[in-house]
Amino acid sequence: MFDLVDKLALGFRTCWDVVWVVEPLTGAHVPVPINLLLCFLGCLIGTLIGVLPGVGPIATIAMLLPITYSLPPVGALIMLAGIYYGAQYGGSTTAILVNIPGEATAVVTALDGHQMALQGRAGTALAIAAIGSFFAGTVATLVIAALGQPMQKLALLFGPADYFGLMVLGLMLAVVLARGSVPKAIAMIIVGVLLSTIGTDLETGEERLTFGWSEVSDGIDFAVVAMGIFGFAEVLRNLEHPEAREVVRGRISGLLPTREELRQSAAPVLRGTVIGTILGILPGNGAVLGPFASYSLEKRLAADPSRFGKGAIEGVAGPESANNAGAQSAFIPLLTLGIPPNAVMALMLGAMTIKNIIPGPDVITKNPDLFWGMIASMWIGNVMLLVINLPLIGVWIRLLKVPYRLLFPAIILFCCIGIYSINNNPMDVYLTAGFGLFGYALIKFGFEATPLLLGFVLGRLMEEKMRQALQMSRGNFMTFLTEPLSATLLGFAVILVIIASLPTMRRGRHAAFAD
Amino acid sequence: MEKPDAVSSGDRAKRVRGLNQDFGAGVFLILLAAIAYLAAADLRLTLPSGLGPGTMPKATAALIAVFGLFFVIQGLTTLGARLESWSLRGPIFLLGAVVVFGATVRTLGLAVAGPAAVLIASLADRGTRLREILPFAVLLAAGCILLFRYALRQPIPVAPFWLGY
Amino acid sequence: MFVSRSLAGFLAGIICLVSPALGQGYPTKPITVIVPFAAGGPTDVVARLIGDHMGRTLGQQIIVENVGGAGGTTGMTRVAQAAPDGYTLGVGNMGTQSAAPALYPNLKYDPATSFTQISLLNFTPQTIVSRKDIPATDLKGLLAYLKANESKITYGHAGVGSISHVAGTVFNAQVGLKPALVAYRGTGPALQDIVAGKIDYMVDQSLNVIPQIRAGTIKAYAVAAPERLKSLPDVPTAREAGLDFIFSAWNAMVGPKGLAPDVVAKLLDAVNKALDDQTIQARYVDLGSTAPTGENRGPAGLQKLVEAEVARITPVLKAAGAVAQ
Repeated sequence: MFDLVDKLALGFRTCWDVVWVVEPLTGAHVPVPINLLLCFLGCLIGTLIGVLPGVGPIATIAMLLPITYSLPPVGALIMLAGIYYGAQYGGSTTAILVNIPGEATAVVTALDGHQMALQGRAGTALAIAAIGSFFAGTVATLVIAALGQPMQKLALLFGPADYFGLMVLGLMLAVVLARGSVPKAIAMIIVGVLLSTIGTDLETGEERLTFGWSEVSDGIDFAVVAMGIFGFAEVLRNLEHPEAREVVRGRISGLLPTREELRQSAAPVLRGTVIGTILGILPGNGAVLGPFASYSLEKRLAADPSRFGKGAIEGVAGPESANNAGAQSAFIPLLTLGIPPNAVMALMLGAMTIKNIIPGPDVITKNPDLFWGMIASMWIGNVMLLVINLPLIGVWIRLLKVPYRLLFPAIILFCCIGIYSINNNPMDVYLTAGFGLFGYALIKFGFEATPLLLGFVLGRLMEEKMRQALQMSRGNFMTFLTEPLSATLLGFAVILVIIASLPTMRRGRHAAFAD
Repeated sequence: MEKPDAVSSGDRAKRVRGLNQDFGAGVFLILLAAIAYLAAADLRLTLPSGLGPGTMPKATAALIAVFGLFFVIQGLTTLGARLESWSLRGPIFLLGAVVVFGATVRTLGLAVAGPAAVLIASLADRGTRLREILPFAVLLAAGCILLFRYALRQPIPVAPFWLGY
Repeated sequence: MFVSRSLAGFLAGIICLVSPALGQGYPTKPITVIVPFAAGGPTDVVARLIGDHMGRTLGQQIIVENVGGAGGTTGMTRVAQAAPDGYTLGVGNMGTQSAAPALYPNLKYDPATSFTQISLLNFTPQTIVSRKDIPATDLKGLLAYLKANESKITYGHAGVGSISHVAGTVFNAQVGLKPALVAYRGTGPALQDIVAGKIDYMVDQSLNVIPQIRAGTIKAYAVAAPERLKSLPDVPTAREAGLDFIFSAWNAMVGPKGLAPDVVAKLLDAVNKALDDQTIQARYVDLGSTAPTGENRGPAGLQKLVEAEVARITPVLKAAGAVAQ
């Protein structure tokens, strides 16, 4: 226990590290808390860039990575981490304000968050997202500090078969995201899974569904699908319903949540934190499941589930907490094993390598100031995010008052630039336009985009894990039942399906007669 | 006030049976499934090591086709929302702007592609006024250039190629 | 006299204006180096390290542009099709410059003829590693164990066309093993599973595996290089361990076909200065890399390497039926 406090103290001391700078005007030596400054800068820049529609956390970090090359190692990593959290939160901001999720984890926030924004409660949504994220970040930081290594050992128990079970469970949960027709939502999930198969087969190297375009031979980028189906299609929809878009954006209620709303959010934040922390350490991007799982849980636990999809604050509080907790605990595999669990951490790994820190299992012992400095900076970063973002809420609200006829071309431009900068490839831009048309068709036929995005994200992981498990067992399907974790999770999934379909069938018949 | 949600639009008077939204949805899905299945025709379903590359695409395509059929039948037999009309102005100008951006950004740079995209996109809305949108487009593009090219040092071309990078 | 001096000045001015086209005064503006992989990966790290140093020598900024996709072939295609003015270069690796012809039948470039070779930048030898519970203490022991359990062993790789896949195919063909191949999306997940003990062995770039070896989470048996690595002094070379297996991932700088000879000379000079730099050499050691020396440097050395690797790898990949398209 005291050992932990000791180590955290080391971490905070590292953050408070000062660099003596000669002040140009007076020639005096001035202490500059360099790491704190870099943390702040990182959070600020990350938030501002992450807010741009079309630019998600991965794109933001990739863009800003070179800036850190000229900085000292610990400072560079702290700044990058700050950029990461900032970009995550910026992405949530965009999801709430304009319904364009920049990253898979922001998709769920957009569901109720944007509805809240439409009801004039954008400030509340943003604030609760910030507060929930802060709480989740604090808890996650403590957990990482105290339990990071043992948790990682647990995570290593997860093999591909077990992961597959988790993904199947996740897809079952996805049905809960449906706001309208459940069959249409399920169909969308499956379409999402189909879209995720586009690309090169990992095992044989064959191209699947690419029609010969090399641009999609690595699969379609999430940002392309999200921008197209969510972003562009959303704008197209708004253009057709001009009455709705201006009036609602004009009405703004209080900027901060009421006591009642805070009370409502407390439990979801707690639950979201737990879910996010646990799922974040799972190898291969388990964190992406966090917000979806939290949303499903909250919807099931709520007294009146019908509020979800229409601006229920729990639908923002829970997922955002899960989101942030997952983002922080995703650092654990990187810092304890030296193996990045997702694309963002892979960029961090690259940054570390360039800085001559080769992360591995012994980073904790060899570079304790780095390890604990980063953990301390996680918490400080969360504080900074709160400090930066709460005032910014007022700025965003005012920005929303810009007439839509000026706002939407700006959104389009940012999306285009963002998409182009992923791979510096115009084909990505064309592809996004194509998805925009596709998304427009989906709206016209009464489909929802959210389940499709979830199917897209989970489908790829699910197939990958399923094939890996089968490769390991040499084609033996029984491996899914013989691996204990896998069997358990699949069992849950089956139970979920049974529970979900029983009342639906009865309700379905009622609804048909009622109409 | 909630935005008119596509899924719950229409009061009872506007609901029809037959060639309605559900029917359209079904046809859409069946077409999608057919294209996907044809594209995946060459992929093997199984490999010695387990499932092949064709399993997932073909299985999902088949499932989508089943759902498509379900919606077609639902459309023909039950009351559902009326099929919405497609606007031409929105998609053509908005998506056209995006395509133009993609086509010109590498050759003419952000200084041209940016304002072009903004201007063309603005045509998608009837309320657009030229004397508003033109300076706005130029300012916006200038801001983006400063932000992405200089502040973030992204290798995004700024000027037409004959003027240099 | 006055007239002829101003005429001379005028002519000098004209010459200065056209000299960029003549390669004199090159470079006059920033140079773009295309890295056909994502930022932060092994090739990107080397490109930025060397590029940064070259930029200082040449007096112009080197801008690294990441153009990912299709195992790196998208980016290299762009380099091959770029104008040969010396302002667009590329850094490819063994995958894009040697394995690609066998893996991508519709490849739009030929590594041996579509580029102006500039120089090899680094070698990163492969290391043969296994999960830590395998009861073997040396390479011979490992091979015996793998052969004895052939029906159960698994080999992990980072996807068709990745270095661990190509190296593994060559290795397994050489020692006569037929493991179950498990495909991962990138090295990270594969490493995670080998640390977790879910796959048996891998042949991967030293950079990726050194931290794990040092921490004892996986076992190393041999390095597929002519000499031991400074960063892994206790690991014998494959030859020392009884197997003649040399396999390195390598990165090289190339330009589009038809670069002017003096441009190439300037670039080569800058590369040499970078490779000789002490700081960079020290960084290379940490990255498990070695800098090329002597005749391995320069366009001729690179051309020879490309041709040799293509000749070595293509039949093995084709025999294993590994095709990416």
